[in-house]
Amino acid sequence: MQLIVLTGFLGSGKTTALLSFARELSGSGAKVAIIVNEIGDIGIDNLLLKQLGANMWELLGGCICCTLVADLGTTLSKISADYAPDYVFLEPSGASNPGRIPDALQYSKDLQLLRISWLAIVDPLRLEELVTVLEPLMESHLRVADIAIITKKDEATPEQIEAARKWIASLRPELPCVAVDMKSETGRASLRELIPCLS
Amino acid sequence: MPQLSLDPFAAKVYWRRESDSPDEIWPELIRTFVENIARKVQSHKAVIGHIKGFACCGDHALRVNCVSAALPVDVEGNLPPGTPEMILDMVVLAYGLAWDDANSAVETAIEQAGQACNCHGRLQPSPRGHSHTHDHK
Repeated sequence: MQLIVLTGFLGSGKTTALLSFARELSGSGAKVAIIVNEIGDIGIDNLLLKQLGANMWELLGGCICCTLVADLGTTLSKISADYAPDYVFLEPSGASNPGRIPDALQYSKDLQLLRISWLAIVDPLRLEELVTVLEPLMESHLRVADIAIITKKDEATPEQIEAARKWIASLRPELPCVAVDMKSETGRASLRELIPCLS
Repeated sequence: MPQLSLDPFAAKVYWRRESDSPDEIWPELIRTFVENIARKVQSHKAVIGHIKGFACCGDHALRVNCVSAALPVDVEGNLPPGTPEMILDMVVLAYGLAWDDANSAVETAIEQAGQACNCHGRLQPSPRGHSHTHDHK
């Protein structure tokens, strides 16, 4: 079982990217599970995923980096035992600190994870404002990433995309970075191209 | 800058439309509703994280997303023609906005959007959860 974590601030486009990536893997015959964590007591993304028929588990009303830290490990163990997927997508709340997720996985010592891939989703439209007021949280998403995905390429100006690239490079110069429009057929990224080592 | 707190506000809004209103009223109502909320959140000097909502009826769904009062509200889908009522699940996630202020902003936005679109809304907030003060240093 491989874990693919999509981190990023609230409203950055994580769910849209997740849906596209999950469809790509399911379409090639892989068994896919999705864990959605929402900070509110009412989930919204989970309702959409349910309506689309996804194999989805919910962690609502808190962050998996703090209040729901134990729930993540037990949920992963349950998914592994009951469903045995090839891939599990994890979408933490956009308010959570992904750096604490590895700690959460320790609550599930029997879990056999072949690999964890970290995708950081970056919204170029609001980056300047958000970095000004929430810099540590914004940076925390990039610190753990294997690749940065700048979303909303269709809505952003070239200057906003470039500013996002520069911000990412200032924190992680070595980090691969792509700009995509996950809502369009032609602009979206392929997960297998982003993470070639996915089995 | 002082650390901003995130006090999630989650609710169900029960909407009913007038029988003579067009089927396109649902997306228009939701757009107007969320635009009003976003403006009120901004007037509190809060930072919008995400205002989002979802309503479904059978295979049909209506989804709304807003990340800034300065950016267009994104509304996708609609409900089946003739649907007289809608239950919208929604959350307001804004840094620096107290739960009571979010509740008040949503209540006022229901009134304003309802008047503008000839619909009636009733708010049922979820119990207040825990607030987050993540600086993550």
